[in-house]
Amino acid sequence: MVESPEGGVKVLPKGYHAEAGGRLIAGGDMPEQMEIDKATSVLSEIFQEFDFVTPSDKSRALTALLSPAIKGLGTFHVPFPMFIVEANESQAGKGFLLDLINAIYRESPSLVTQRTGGVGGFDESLSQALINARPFVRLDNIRGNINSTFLEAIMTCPLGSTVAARVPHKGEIRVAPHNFTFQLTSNGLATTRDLVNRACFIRILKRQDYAFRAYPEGSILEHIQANQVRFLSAVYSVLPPWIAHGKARTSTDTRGEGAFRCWWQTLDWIITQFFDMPSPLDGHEVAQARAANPALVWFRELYIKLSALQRLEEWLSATEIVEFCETEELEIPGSSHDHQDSKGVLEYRAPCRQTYGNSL
Amino acid sequence: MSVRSQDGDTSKHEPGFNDNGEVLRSGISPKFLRQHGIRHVNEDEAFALVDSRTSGIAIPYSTLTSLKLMVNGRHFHRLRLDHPTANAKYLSSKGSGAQLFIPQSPPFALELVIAEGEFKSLALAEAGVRAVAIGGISSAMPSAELLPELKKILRKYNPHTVYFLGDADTCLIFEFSFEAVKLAKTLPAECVLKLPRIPLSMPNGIDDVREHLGDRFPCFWEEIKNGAFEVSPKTTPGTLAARLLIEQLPAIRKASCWRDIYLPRIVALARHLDAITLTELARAVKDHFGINARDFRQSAKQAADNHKQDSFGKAGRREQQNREEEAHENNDESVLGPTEVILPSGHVSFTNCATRLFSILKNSNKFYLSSSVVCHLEDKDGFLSLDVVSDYAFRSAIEGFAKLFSWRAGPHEGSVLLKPGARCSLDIAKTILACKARELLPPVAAIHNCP
Repeated sequence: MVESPEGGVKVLPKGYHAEAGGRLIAGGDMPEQMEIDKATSVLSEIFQEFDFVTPSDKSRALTALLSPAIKGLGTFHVPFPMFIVEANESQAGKGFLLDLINAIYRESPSLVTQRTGGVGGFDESLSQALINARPFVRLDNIRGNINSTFLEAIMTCPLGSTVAARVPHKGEIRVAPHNFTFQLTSNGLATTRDLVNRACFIRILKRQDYAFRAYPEGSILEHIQANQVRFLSAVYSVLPPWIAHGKARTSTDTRGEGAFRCWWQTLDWIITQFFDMPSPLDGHEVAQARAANPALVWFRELYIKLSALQRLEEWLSATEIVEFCETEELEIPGSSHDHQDSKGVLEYRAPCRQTYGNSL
Repeated sequence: MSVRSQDGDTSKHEPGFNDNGEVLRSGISPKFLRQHGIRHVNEDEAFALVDSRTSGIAIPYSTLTSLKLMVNGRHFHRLRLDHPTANAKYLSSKGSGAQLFIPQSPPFALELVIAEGEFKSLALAEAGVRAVAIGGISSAMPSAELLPELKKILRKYNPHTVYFLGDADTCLIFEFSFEAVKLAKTLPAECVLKLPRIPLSMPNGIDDVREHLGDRFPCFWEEIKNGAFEVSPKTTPGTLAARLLIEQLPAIRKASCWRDIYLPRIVALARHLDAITLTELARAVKDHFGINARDFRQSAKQAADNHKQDSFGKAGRREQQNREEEAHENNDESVLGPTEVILPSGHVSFTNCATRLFSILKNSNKFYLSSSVVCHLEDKDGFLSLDVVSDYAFRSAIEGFAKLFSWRAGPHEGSVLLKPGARCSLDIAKTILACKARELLPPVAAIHNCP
């Protein structure tokens, strides 16, 4: 769906279109317009069985759902954040949540994974994903520090500029990263403040012993795939009323960071006005602050591991914690790989001091 | 008079003469032919007109302002051979290129018909329809540009609708749709291109239809004009070809010989289609003929593979021989088909070659431009993606979309031959990929899998 110069919207059918730098629509049925109330009700159904850490995380999940359509309009020239889905345990459904979003757009993301060996690296995979021109790029199951200057270049690239994507034997190609929706899944992401400021965190909890609702088609994913046009229609039906309100945004809330503030305020307006849900900005700074602080990331993982083993009530000495981390292969920020116990204790104190100050 | 059975057989009378020696043609009165100077010529007269000693019907060409179209200092004629060969039915003088045939009446108005062949335009003109004619399906834009006289007509009379009229069987000819889309893209923005369609159950050409219907012809013409397909410049030749064909499938199914005559032609057309359009056609073929859609798709792919191999096989060698003889005789590129490209050689520059090649590739639905780099479309797990075309890959990739020729020194001193089956060298591939003409390819910023 693109916004026409006259202000209305038009849905581009299958085929090539010169709009917005050239769009190739490979297939799919045409969506239909539906009432805004019905649209929000259809969309709210999608995430109802996920256990979000806070209601605002669900609001942020909705922003991840609506953003590709808003970006697709081709006239909303603001930077969009990367959507990061975090969970307390593996198999909590991080990828599944993003799969549902992708299914609505009938897309399969270009997957990029961290690699420590083998052929090609993270930057090369990311370059190839950009060249592929598929709208969703997913950085899958990222652990610890991404440590990619290329990713930082993409996320900090000024609006309308391009980055150089390079793959072996094929030279360099300049790609506008703002055509893409970046998604990331992680159980413990540690990264720079720069990247964190350009991210929207969605936190979910693993549901233990929970049976998800069955649909005639199977799972919710299969249900969405079978009724994709209905869900896409719902997404596209939210945009015309928003445009009719002059592409409204919440001007009173100034919490969004820098260039991303316009995106946050816009999505805040849509989510609070149309979906009657909490602001997506509520509590977001907590997740941001943790991801930017390696000590907090480590401490979160330690907490999750101890909780899983029901040892939260135990008193553990610093040495015991260091031993526990070694057993669970939990890397302590700033530690070397072959440290002595006593040295490890000292090193453990360092991140704790970073976390709690001198009170430890 | 042409008689066309439902089975698609056409038995057309060879050009004849009445007792007064006047030319007789289906659907046109002798008087109207005479008015246009159309006459039978013997071998000597033919040689004087078109440099070929073979008798036939001479068709003199005029311009918008003069009764004589002068080309290379001579009044341009086309000759309809009394005895057509396997290679040629019509001849014109060497190096004279393609020209536009303009009947003398009626006056130009807001609608213009482009017919394929002089006699068809004359049949329409006599019926009061303003028509002009091109020599063949691909003769309206021989060098990616409209014929100069056609351009003048469009500029002077600003028609709002141009009708591109093909024979009934053009629904089975991919090149017709290819040329129609090219034409639609070239017409002025305020002018639409429409395709009036003669049903397959009728005689093949509009002149034969006029002969067949007599007084009922004007009603028939209005009917097919009103039901004409509008060609969007954005459509692809494959989509259009499939649309024209699918409409005629019920008529084809009624023919008792559909399996032997029409089905091979349908498969031959299908080999040009992209995966999505092929699936649509396969579904329609299944509905009308009960042929399994997967089998049909496989036959189309097989036909495409065979076609490629034929370039190097027996048929290819025979074609190459014919082509060499023809090229040697004509010594120019006017014999090139719509998907034929001469690689940089002789007087053909890199820029010329790249311009022609990318003009073909831009309609292929396979090659696109991503940030000034030539990319091609790939199917990765059922989802389309772009990838940069390496110079190595480009060498072979173009062979699926264009037949490559090259100028080479001939057997006699100073002679040159246009050799088919040429191979694109790595150096040529690199240079063509770097040519500015690559910007003819449509740019793509994103590929979406839903509207």
